[in-house]
Amino acid sequence: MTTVGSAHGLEQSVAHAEFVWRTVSEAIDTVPESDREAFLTRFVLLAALDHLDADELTALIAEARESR
Amino acid sequence: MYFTPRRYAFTPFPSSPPDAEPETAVVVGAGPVGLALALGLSRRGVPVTVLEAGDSVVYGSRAICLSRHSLEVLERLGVGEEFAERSLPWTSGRSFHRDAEVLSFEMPHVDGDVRTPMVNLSQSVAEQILVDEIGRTDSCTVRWQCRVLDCTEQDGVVTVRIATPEGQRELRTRWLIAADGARSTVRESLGLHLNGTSYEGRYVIADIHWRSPLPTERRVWFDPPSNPGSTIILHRQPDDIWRVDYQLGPDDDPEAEIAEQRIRDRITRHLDWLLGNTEPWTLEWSSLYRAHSLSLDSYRHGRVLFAGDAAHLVPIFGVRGLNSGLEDADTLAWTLASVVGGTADPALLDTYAAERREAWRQNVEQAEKSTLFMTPGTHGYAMTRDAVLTLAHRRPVLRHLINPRQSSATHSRASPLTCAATRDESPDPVPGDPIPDRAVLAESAPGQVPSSVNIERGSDFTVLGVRTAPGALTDFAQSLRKRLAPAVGVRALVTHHGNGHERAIPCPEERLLDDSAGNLESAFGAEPGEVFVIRPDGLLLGRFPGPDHLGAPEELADHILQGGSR
Repeated sequence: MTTVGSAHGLEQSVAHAEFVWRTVSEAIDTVPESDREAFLTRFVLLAALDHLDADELTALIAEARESR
Repeated sequence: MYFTPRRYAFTPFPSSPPDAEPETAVVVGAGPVGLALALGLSRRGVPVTVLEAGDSVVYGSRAICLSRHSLEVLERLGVGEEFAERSLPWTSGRSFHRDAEVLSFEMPHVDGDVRTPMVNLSQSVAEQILVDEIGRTDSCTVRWQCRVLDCTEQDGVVTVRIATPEGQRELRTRWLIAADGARSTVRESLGLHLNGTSYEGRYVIADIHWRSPLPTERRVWFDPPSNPGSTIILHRQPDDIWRVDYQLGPDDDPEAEIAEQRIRDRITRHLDWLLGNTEPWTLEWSSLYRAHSLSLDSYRHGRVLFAGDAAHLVPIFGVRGLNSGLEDADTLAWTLASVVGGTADPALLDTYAAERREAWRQNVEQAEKSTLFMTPGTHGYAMTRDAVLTLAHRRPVLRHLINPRQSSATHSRASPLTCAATRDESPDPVPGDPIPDRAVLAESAPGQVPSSVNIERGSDFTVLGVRTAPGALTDFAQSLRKRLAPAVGVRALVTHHGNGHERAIPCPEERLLDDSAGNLESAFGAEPGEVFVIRPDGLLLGRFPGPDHLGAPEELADHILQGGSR
């Protein structure tokens, strides 16, 4: 298990993780409950289209599936 | 009961005669903040009366985690040793999602630190230590069974109406400090309101007496098999008392959940699942908690000042409530004493109010993240929280979102009192920051004495020279002392490498600290010759490249005594 108490060098990546967490949380809260699943599906498709190649997409799908 | 509160009788007293000089300072509320403030004021020569509605200290652990900085405050009040003896130090924590560990954290601590980052102690015990110390202190009195009804200010005097067992009384005072908690009567009496955010989630908090092999560390379980959907926090306290906090679901009825049998059922399930527990335990105390980030717009209203929960509320997660309240008490003690003593302009109290409200904002910024994670109030935050917990073992960066961000001392970088940095890129601590305490060896006549920066600077302003020339700070310290006395003293501390007795010129004004190991220099990011001016509350007023850059002591005194508003 990684100890995080003295991890000064991670400031930027932690700030990004916080931004992602809060932005996605608040985005989910802005759509009606009936549209949540469809919204998340659209969002993942857009993120994948713009930022992931085939190998990355496949790897991330596998990671998400295995992390349940 | 693991703690039997001592009961205090009402001590009869008359109302203040209208033609007599009012009392100097009255504190409302004998909680830890009010008691610490009363002690701080009396240590500076201000006579204080504390009014408390109850007849004893509180029962129950309540605010159990005291930060390293709070222990420094308590040490300066003369009760540090007893707090250290009676509390349990801890440095680390673990978080679990269901039955898998997802975070193990260690709070920052380095060689040379005088204290652990955190200790656990029941608020009952903390208050009793402070009450006992007040009992040994001249010109400081707690009046029990005195419930404040309201207060009014007229012609520089605050009149407090009080209900006592022998009827109503009126006390007249020059200064009234409201430390009467979240439901402050003083605040209500003045028609003031807290503003901010209240969070949805509710927690049951309970003390249990339980002999357990678990270590002294913070443990949290998200969605544990024992109580699916809930979050459970466990803290060890002294004397085999454990504090258990658990989150209620959105459909749980808080009134039903606070019933003793219901609490027993939930805790039993968790302990059984956790350890296959067979050790009997008893429920000692319980309460219901809801997180708030609320504050008054100002902590000063004429001659009425606010401190602690009466002024501001922060969520429990990260333990910033009592710790920020003790910071309030620490700062208010020296600023108010300076005003009462006639040396400072009342504008210094506006600086107190502005600094401490900014501190609340700093605390909320951190606490809000912890609260959104610990008790997500919306579907979006609940979904992402669960996803983060699920992914945390694969993505280490996500563990930082689980980290509880335990309380650390707030800064006053933007305060008008803080002197601007003299270098473009000043190393930490920058002006306004809390200074770190470090173990040092102090030179004395019989030889070197183990000590610390906090002990050596005491409750005074301190001019700390890093290997400055002998006598370089003497005149400055003496002149500054003349202007700040009597409420606040001034000390000069000077570090050296090697044997202090080698110094050619004896300078009784300058206390020598052996920093051969460089611990202090390193902690302050200091260059040889640099001078640090430290406030009584441990915040860095300014850092200067050398004694010649300090300017005239009279100018600095004016700056301080006018609240930095020159």
